[in-house]
Amino acid sequence: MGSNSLYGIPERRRPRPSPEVVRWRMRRLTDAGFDASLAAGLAVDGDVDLHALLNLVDRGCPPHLAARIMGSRVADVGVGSHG
Amino acid sequence: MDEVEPVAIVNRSPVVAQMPPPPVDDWVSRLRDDVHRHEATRELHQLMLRAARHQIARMPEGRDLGWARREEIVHAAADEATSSVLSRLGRFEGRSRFTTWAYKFAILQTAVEVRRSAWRQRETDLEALGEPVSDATGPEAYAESSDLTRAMREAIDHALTDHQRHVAIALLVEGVPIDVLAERLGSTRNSLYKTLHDARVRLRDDLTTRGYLGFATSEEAVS
Repeated sequence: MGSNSLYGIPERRRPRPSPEVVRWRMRRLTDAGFDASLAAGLAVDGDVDLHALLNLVDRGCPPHLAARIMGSRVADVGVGSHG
Repeated sequence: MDEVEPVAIVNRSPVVAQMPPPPVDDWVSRLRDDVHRHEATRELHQLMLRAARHQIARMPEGRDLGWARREEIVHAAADEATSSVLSRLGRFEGRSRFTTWAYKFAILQTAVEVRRSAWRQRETDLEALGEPVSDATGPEAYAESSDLTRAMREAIDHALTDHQRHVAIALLVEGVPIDVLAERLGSTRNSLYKTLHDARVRLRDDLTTRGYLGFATSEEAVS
């Protein structure tokens, strides 16, 4: 377990989402126009801020580009096929 | 029979007698002092544990949890609250006792953790806008209420972006705690507050433009 270097207090990181939350996140993403494989990759990563991602899409940003802007490595995998 | 003196006096060791507990508001200096920091931090963590146990016992959602889950939440909340207090020592102004000030961190953190736990298994559809229950008493009041309800539905459908609508329905209609939604989205409460504020401004402007509200109060809030 990691610990706070100053006080020895256990660090808390954003936990991996539960299966229910992953499914919920994936549905939010596919509803917003993300293709299934990209949505699946983003949904399982609890550090991906879906709120910021969906705000970008709301403003007209294509989903794949939004994922890249948010620094998701998942988006880079399919960059060739999405231009 | 020998006469027994009061235990509290007889059992007090000379060492303890020479080292009375520090004044309650000496906490800040002890937490900053290299010599006492470790011990003071341990005491602070104990205080946070007591506050977390007190809070979880008060919350109806907390009572429904099993003992192991409650303990897990208590310790997580106490850890988080201890970190929060330590990182905000500079903000303590001494307007209340330090323990009172610190206690609130554990109370808040425990409440957040309990709500998160309670909502962990619950579905939040974010789509369904149920039929509101009208409390209108007469035909005229009922008609007005229905009219405003319909206008609000239209505003939600047309004045908000997709994501704003989902956030507004979750927080305002379904009553999802904001920290639960923030956690699911991998975001922060502040980001959601901002979206909620923007959504309210849009709804108010839409209803005002269509004559359902008497005057615009949000012009300065629209940027």
